[in-house]
Amino acid sequence: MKTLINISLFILLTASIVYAKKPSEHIPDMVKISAGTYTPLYVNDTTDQSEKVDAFLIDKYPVTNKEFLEFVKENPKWRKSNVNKLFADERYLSHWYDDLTLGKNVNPDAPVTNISWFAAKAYAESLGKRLPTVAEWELAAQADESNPNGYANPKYVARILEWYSKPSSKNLPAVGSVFENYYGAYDMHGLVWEWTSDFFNALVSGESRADGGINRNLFCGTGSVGATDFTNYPAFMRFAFRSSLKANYTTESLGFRCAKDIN
Amino acid sequence: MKKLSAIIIAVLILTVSVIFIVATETSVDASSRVELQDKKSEKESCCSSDIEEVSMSDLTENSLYQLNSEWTNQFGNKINLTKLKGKKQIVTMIFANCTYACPILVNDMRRIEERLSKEELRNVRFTLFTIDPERDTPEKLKEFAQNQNLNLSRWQLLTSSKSDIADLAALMGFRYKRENDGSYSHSNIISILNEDGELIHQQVGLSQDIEKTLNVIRNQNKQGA
Repeated sequence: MKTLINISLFILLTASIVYAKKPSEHIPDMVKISAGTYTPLYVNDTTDQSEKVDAFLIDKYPVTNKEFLEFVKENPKWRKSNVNKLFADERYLSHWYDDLTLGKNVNPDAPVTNISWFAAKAYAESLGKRLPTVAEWELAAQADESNPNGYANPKYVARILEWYSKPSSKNLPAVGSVFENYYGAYDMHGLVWEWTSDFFNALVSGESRADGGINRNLFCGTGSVGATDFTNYPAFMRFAFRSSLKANYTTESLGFRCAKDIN
Repeated sequence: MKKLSAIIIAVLILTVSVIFIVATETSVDASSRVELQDKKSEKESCCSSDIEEVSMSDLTENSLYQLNSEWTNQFGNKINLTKLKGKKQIVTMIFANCTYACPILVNDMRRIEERLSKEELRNVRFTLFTIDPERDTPEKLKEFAQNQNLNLSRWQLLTSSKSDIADLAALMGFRYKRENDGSYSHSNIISILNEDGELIHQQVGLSQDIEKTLNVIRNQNKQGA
């Protein structure tokens, strides 16, 4: 009788472990980022523009090729042969072999790139998530391995800058390969640039638009502009990068991860 | 004998738990699929009942109306974006509490309106999209229209969800950012969409010379006629 109880207990235990493990495959890991304040790089000097950020969840890893493939299987309109050019330019998923095949040269566990803002947003929404705001992303990315404010450490800033100066590699490594920060989020720097929900709030004129200077006639509210932190050069680069983006733009070094409100 | 029955019972328990696991998994999958289908049919039914003629397949590839988003006008009526099809649209994005740029932008659009003949105006509509959906209720938009003396037979003011507003702004290259004092920094761009909802011209900056914009509207009118 004892063996019987032992055996059935063992089986039940195994079954419950197997069962408990299963759902985690469906809910990709997210980590909690505590509430904080983000001060935008460029501010209007007449008002306080630091932004309060509520605690939120962010994906542990950037979204991978494999994960995005699942999404396009379910959503034919986001396959590369179907997608409307308004929502993703001609380089969209250009590293994939075809609509539903990654191909030999693509690491399924590497972050998906060549992805537009519209596509990233649609992916996030399909999972009941959203893209992080600039403020949220910057807050999460501020942390180094041991400290929520890694930027206080000049070595951390220097390390990020070094990553930016390296040419982006065609063969991206798997997610999780760079570093895990204080919050448990991986690869916030050093792997790919990432989309944010409100990248378009980086207000600079430019390109072919009118006179190219920041001008009250072009942008209301940015009459006087000053930088808040001249030491954080990588932050300037991200700001410049975001202000150059268009929502259908795709490039091989730009991916994304999702965020979510808490509860 | 005891051992044998123990094994049999153990096998039974194993089978039952496997069935339980499989059943739970599939039921989760099935229910999420049903949910997806529900969402899909909800979207389809709302749009097909709302719009009479315009279907997605009628839209050109470069039509901004591909967004197919739901908006609410200053009278509180629901309007699908595709309903803007058929007339040329002079559009910009505003927030009603705006004290500096938006009234000027609206005035720039009114200058365009004043320069067009009655004949030309028949094919043109003026649409303002809010970037401040939290405060710009239909009532607030109506009040803004009244304060600005907008002729509501030609002008409409629309609001939607934050996400749909961001999508439209992104397609028009319109940048905006909410400031701590509740105001918005934003691009000053007036966009001209043709009858199909394709972006054909943008006038960038406040109080600009409107001749080029007028030319685009008139030339397109001729082409359309």
